[in-house]
Amino acid sequence: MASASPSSFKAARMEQFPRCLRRTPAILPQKLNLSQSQSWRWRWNSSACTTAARSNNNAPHPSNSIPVPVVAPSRSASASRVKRHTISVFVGDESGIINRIAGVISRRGYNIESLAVGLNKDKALFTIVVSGTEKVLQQVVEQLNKLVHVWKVEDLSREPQVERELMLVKLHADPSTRAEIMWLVDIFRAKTVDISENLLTIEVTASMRHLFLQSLLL
Amino acid sequence: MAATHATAAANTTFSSKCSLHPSPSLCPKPPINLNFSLLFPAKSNGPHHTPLRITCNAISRPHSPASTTSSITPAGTSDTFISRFAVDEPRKGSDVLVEALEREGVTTVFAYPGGASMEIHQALTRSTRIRNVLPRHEQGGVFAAEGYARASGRPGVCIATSGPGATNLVSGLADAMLDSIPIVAITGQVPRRMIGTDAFQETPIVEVTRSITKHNYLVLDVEDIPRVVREAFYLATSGRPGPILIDIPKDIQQQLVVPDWNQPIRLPGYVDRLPKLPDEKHLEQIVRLVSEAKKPVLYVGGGCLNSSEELRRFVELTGIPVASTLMGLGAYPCNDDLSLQMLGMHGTVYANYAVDKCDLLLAFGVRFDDRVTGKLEAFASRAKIVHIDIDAAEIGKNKQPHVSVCADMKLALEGMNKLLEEKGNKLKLDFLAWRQELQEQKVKHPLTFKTFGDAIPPQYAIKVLDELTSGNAIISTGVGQHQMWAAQFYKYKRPRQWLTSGGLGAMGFGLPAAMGAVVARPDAVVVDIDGDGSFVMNVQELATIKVENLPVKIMLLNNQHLGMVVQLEDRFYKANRAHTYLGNPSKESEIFPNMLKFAEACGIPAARVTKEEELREAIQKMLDTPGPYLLDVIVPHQEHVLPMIPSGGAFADTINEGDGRSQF
Repeated sequence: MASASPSSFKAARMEQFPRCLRRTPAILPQKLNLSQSQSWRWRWNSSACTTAARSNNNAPHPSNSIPVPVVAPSRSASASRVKRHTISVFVGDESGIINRIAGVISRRGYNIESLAVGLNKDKALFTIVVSGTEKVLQQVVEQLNKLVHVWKVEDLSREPQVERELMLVKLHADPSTRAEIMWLVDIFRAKTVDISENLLTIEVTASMRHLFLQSLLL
Repeated sequence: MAATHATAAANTTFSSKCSLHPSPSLCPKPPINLNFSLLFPAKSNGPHHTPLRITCNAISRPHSPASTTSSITPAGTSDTFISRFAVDEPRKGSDVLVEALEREGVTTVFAYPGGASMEIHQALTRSTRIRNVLPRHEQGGVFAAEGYARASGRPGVCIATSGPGATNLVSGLADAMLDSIPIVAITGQVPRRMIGTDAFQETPIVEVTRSITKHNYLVLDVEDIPRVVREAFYLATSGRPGPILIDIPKDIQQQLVVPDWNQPIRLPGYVDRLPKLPDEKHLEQIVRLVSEAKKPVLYVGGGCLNSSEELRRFVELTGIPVASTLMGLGAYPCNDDLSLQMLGMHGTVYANYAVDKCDLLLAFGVRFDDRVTGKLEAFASRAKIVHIDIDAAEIGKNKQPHVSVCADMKLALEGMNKLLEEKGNKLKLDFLAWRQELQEQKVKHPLTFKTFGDAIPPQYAIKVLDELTSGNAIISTGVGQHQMWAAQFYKYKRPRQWLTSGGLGAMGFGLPAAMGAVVARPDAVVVDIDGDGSFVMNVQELATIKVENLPVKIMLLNNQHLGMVVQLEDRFYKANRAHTYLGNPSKESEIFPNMLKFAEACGIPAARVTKEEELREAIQKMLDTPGPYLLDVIVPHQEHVLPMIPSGGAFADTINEGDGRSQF
């Protein structure tokens, strides 16, 4: 699965956060403008604003120069919803790094839904899909950050992104059914990549796969 | 990413991305020599230390000997290290390894030989600077390395062979991981061509220990050894310390090579992510919260062991009472008025009361472990939580703090002390009413025990030990009831006096850890308060303490049972004994096993005491006899550790009464 952030997408709330933050989530620079209603929880809690925003004990608000954002009432609800998160981990290569990363995630009891690795000489980029709540995700990111050879961990689900799924299907297609299959392939803008006597290989991308699969199975 | 592989000669414009403590006299100058703020200051004896040459952009600063920041490199360069070998002389990989250890300032290792690590032992015999204390079990070796690290602050080193030797290290590594103790474990491995073939004594120890070590290495090139050892020690001691394992195949140990000692370490991402100086604004905010609070409490743990002075100053300036976790005992002196001693499952009532009723919880160097918090929702439910920890992953893991700072505790406390001193009178911190409230609780619910006839209450034995050692001994324990009593009834005055397996709770920890502590601090009185269950788990180390003449005093609280489990059986399982009797069922009136015979077998003087009036004299004799000594103190098994908050319970569920003599 490939992800990318197109520049044409309307600026999402997360673009407000400077890159340097992600390395040390617990410390926020003071100049941050937290007027957005939905901030990342893991920075949220460690920020100076949190005292003011989350104080629910009628304690006096400490006076500070940081603008106090309004806590969106739906935030706690969304925080406990299970979602699929895409994490990108950039590591310096070493033997067994895949094991390490998978180990860190499973040791904490979280499940990897999918994992894609791109290797380049001595560096590797992992794209991992983990499903869980916000808290789970925060923990996963923090634990990955503790690994010595990891250079950078990013949560891509927050950013504007483009996702594609690619499926290669090998079908039994004798001459009688072949025409029909090729007609279906045409409709769904899939591509035939290989053909032999009674086999047909089809490539499908994007998210139309549900309908296509169903019809194919018929 | 700041991580570029700049060579030592590079003189570029630096960005302050790496962790360091900028001093006023900053001046960029080549070569890039960095002093890193580390949790464990290395007060080493060796004059030969190599400065860490790290490949990343950083502002270098001049060496500052014995400055306020803890630095691993005192003044000394690699040029002053005099090697046994000529510069161009090829030598074996094992000799390179031993020299790399010497260069890191290691003076003692705990190594047990075997086929795959023989070369290392041969090289150790050729070394004049490193002494090997031979344990009798690899687990004893790794626990001894832990005791050494816990007592001194320097990384402990243990060496084992491949296969079963390496797997015997697993408990110790897991313990070091959970308690954040710096250990470097070196294991032999079968030759490279035989890895993966199920060879003799082969275990994939790197795979096995991946999740219980901070990082581990399998060395596949002999040229890497100097760099790997340097990285290992750096990783073990920086940031949140932890165990590192280095697996070295036998053929690499035998291969001849001319080592390059100037290889820089390659940990760019890690170094960049080390916590920076705490931000003034955050510290100011914390100080402001302190000034606004009415009932603040300090909750300190293992992360404060290196900042005892700064913590004391902080308490002096603010007057906030201090509750400590099991790992943090000693960071603030337990005999002080402001100390609430231990909190948590077996903590004092007044400490748990304070945390329950407080409105500001200052969590310094702690991880909100379940033994302390019980039910998370009910823990400190009325309080604003301030969490300072060096590990960003711990912040928000169990309990969401209101303000958090990811920084070294020492630096954070220094910063806050400075702010408090500046603001001083303007703040008017007065928690007298709160302290009085807690004093009332202290009087109402002190730590107590009952005496039955002339049987020795185990709590009393520990109290007497406390008096006779003036609270200055280094105490190591096994795990169980005796561990909890040693935490409650011995008043620790300094950090690194209390050695116990906290996070893992590994029985058999006491004796080997005491061994390591004696090696680390030969002038101190070291007492192992052990239980009969824990003692026999590593009883073989009696041989070591005798042969190496390590004056470990063992005070064995012998109740013939597995005390803590018996207590839980009494409370929750209607006293149904399920394999918790450690004596001989056919001869219940006799003490079995006869611990004195274990000591006699190793030539160690021993004594048994059963009556309360003889106790003081017996303990005094134990302390006065030079060399190792075993004192078998027979105690009743019906004693329970009180107070107790059942697992997953809240402060309201505290049990403070009863023992095995009553029915539940």
